Amino acid sequence: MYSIGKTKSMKFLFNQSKSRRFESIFDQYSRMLFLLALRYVSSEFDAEEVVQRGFIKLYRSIDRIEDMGEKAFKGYVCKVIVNESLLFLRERKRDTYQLITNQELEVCSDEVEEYPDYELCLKFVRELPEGYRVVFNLFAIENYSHQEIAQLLGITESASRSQLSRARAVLKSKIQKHRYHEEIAG
Amino acid sequence: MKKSLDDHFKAHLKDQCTIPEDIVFNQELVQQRIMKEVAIHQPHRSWRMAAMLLIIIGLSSICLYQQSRIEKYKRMGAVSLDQNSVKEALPEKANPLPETKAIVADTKPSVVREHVVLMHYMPRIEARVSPTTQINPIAVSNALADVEKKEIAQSAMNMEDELELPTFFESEELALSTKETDQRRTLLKRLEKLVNN
Repeated sequence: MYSIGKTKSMKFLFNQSKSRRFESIFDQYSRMLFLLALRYVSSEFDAEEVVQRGFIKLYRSIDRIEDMGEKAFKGYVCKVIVNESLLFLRERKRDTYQLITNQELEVCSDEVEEYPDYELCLKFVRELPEGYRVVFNLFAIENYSHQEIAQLLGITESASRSQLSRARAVLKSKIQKHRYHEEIAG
Repeated sequence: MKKSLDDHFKAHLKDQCTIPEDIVFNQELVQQRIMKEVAIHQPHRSWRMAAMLLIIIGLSSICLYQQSRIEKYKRMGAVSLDQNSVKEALPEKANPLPETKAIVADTKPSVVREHVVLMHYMPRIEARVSPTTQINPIAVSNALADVEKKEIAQSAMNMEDELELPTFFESEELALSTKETDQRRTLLKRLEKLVNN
């Protein structure tokens, strides 16, 4: 597993030239940001493009982030990539934020007893419809509030809540299906 | 229940850096594309910097050269003033010397040997240094008079004191003061003679 350095301050990077600094940041964060983008845009090529755009923005603003601590810097780069992902989805004119209401959902009332591992989690999230996926990622993983999500996506707060509950229902359904298949196979 | 589902996904997906095997991330290619994109938007910064530096260095060196020249001339002027035997240079327009002029050094009848000095024209700044360096005799010719005339002039010079020729003064005050001192001297001489006798 790729681990992020234990250094608490980013100042060690700023003794180097701009291109060297950028290389260090890219080596350290590119994988994490690629996976972050992949949760939003689903396709690997699209995620690469989002990462590319995000890092170009970071390169241009690299001189202004000297005094940030590592945690703040990580939060900043994640926010850049999230914004770039949303922009990318909007540009592609995908109907990302259209509320999915007519899809038949297998609402599972049973509780999930056993959760899947990391790879399955990623797979299930990527398989969600885009509207559900974006809201679930923003709320459950990035800790955005429904108000912030509504402002970002241009939807109402209640719509955000609805999309989130449906995303959860789909995920639960997928987990249960997976368990069922495993039991049959086992 | 819902909380735990969110927490589980968050725990697995937040800040995750492990890329699953079925997902391909071409890190180097992305980096190359970024650097290429960045380089396009930074055209010839190094050339601009180099040109700016060259201009600054050139201008500063010209300024330094001019300053050193001014300092040099100031120093030379100061030396000539310290010698105290040098008059300040006249402005170029007021300089009576033409470009080249023959000067007769002395025209008194007692002088039999004439030095014809050809003055070489000097620029105004160099003329400030000192007259000794200003005058560059480029040719000296001895214009000797006849030997007889020279002897006559020499003997005339020797006899000048004996002849007690009348003296002419520039002003009456000077003449009066000189006469008074002469009278005192003669009186003193008489007194001395009397005392001795």
